[in-house]
Amino acid sequence: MTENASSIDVVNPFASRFMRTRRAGPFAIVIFGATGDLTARKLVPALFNLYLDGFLPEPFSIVGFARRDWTSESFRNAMSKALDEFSRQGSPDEATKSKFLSHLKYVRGEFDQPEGFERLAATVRKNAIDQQRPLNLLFYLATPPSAFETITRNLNSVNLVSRQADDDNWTRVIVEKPFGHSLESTWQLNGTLHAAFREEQVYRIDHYLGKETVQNILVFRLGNSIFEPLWNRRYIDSIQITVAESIGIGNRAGYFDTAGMLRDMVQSHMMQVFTLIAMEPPAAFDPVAIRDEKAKVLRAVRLPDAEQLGDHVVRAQYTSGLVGGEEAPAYLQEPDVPSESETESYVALRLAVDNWRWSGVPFYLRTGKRLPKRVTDVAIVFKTPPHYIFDQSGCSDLAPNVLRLRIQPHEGISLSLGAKVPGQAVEITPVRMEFDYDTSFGQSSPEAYERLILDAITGDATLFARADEVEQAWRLIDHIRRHWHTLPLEQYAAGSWGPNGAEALVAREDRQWVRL
Amino acid sequence: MGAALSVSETLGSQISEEVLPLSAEKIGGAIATIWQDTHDTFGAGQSVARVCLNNLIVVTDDENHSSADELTRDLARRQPSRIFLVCVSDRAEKSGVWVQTACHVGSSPNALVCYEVIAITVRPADVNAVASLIRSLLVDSVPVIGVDFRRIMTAFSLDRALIEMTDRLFVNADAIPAAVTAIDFLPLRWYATLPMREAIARAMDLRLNRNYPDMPIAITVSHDPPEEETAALLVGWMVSRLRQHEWTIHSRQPLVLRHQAGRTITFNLVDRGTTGEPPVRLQFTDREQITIAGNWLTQKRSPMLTVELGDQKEQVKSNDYPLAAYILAGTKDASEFDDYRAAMACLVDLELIHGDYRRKKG
Repeated sequence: MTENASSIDVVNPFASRFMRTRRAGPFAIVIFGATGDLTARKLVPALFNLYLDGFLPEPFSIVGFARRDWTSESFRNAMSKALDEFSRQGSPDEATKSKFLSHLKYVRGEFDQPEGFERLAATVRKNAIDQQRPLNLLFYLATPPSAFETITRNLNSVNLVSRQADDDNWTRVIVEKPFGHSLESTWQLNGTLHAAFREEQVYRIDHYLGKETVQNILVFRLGNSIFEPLWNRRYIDSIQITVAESIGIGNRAGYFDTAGMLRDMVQSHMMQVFTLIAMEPPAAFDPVAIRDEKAKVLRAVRLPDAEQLGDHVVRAQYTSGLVGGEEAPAYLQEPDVPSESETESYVALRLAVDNWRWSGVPFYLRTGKRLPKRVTDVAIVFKTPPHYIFDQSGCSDLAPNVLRLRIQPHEGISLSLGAKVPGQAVEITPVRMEFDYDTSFGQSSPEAYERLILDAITGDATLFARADEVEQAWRLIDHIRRHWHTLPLEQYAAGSWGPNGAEALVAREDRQWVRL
Repeated sequence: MGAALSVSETLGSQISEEVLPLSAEKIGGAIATIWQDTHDTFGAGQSVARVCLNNLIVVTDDENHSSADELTRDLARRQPSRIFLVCVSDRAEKSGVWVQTACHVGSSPNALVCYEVIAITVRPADVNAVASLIRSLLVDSVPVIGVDFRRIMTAFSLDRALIEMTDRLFVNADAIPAAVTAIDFLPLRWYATLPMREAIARAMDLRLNRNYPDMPIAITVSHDPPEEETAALLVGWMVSRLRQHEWTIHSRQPLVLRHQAGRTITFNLVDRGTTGEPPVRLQFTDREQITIAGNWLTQKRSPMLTVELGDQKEQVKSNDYPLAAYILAGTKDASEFDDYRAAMACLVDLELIHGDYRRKKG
């Protein structure tokens, strides 16, 4: 922030520490693709909820940029309806909503034509002068990656991008996944972004990382003294990460059929969760230290030999079936899916991490569509006790302790333990200790986008993927993809938990998937 | 007795069938029984998570009973807790206890918030029994938070027990026993200044977020005679905050703070001598003579505030700062307690109050 002639301490000495510990400074956010679904469903509602919670103090500005022939007024009207429908906290009153909406402006323009960008530049500069604030700019590219290059080039041409590491006039950019579709395309994409921005200015958003339980993984591991000592091959038998969806591909066939589950889900969400579980403790809770460790553990993932890939990877496609009591069509019958498509709607992996902590501990990952329920869950399965003293009482089948991190729905943590059933006999049964976010804190968690957008505004990149992380994840995915055609495409009925091959993947090591 | 709380959207709310005596055993038994009934209400196979995050002891008298009852409802709605609502009543014919347990849908649709309220009405003659009763019914391993609505703390055994049992205590009384100042406590008068303090913070943010940030050169707090303590609290808070940011007291009469860069801020605490609206008014004056002012329309526990930030004007509603949220935030974050202590230390330093927090005459 600019200091005046008297060189005074410009930190607000009266800043409230009550309830609003982290607030944005003055800024403008420019949303490219402002007329799209993401803006209406997630971005503007997230900004509104931050505003309601006092995280966005005046002055700030929200500028939408898109091709559609809208005006600022029609943009506000559309967003007003979106807030009614999608705001987490609803809208407390019309006056508050109107005041928030007064911060919205719209600039019409084509991504590949400079005229719109000149209008955009004039709008944000005038706005900054009117509001007497620095030109702090956050660009949100809610567009397909194919548009990134033209957008960044045009932003550069109208001098809206500053590469300076200046707290007074910062420029940052948020990009939505997919972060490429292969290692090579990721290099290209990163090259495009780096042509205009330094890596520190790039915030690759993966909304999974904004979820409370995902953030809580590190707190849980490193903020409690009882877990980290157990977090290694000595005590952990295996780890399972499941991302299950009950829905099909909806109207996303165009995108999904070219991507598949491996690239759509494993490369992004699952790898992010995997790294948080498997990474070494960082030296500090800061973006550099955490992302260094995440990249390091990705480098330690052993790539299976091509000949043995079938023992480590299962891919499958759903056939028709019943999901939640309702009939679901087969993948090939979904709208706009090519009849001969071999795109996987399910994938299961066994990953090995070559380091001291995880040597010999398999990480099983599975994700699929049209599974029985929507659930994202991490199960840390502990080793059973080395010696059963209860054998003689017929209790030899003690279930292992399982720590479950439930990411969605109903974020929470549970730990299963063996407990004696009341009575004369020594009968042991698994019981669960549950921690549920909503119940325990009596308040709903902020939407992931709220957390992540505020992070980007305040310059905290901890929960965003760094270029080398993304590239390391693609290294693994590309390796699998190179031998994809050698793997059989199995089938599973919609509404089941996946193909037989997935069961065999864990069963051949004498394990089974946790029940969800 | 305001025992039967009705929380909207309450599921399986259960109330003890009869007035119970001041007996921990009877009360504990009643809680166990009605939890079993609650569980049955939900039906077989539905698990009811009985999480308890706090013990909350709300003490009141007949005069402040409705405020305490309102707070208890709000606390019950927000977090799963065991709440003791103790009314020291001259009007009650005899002492007795009602117990209520309930689960209701929380702010997230799938979250059930469960609570237990033990509503104790106690004749002054029986008050000695209450402390031991509460002590034996406290849920272990979770914090104990006390809120005392009485304007005068007179039931000595209860006061002592509150001070001894609670991790943090919120009090409404103006005259505070010396022992209270030794623990983490906050007067509700401090809470009442929160909207004003937040408004000051926002006003400063607005100034500093502009291209040419600047500090005010004068801060004036004018007040009605009865609001002298509130106004002094605000001054104490501002001075303590400034001292944490490299400002030092340059002079006491008049009160001038000086920054190491050479700038000064003059504080004016003005007793208007008459009552009127607003009871407390605060003005920041900067070099360009732009005034940022907050007008207090009422200084009660549910304040309404009008804030003028340059050419902007906004109203702060009482429900922006619910007391229950403030209390629960205080269980996790000690910053309000720290701020209060720092403000009081400043006022002692400025010789506006004694070291035991008593107001100096004149």
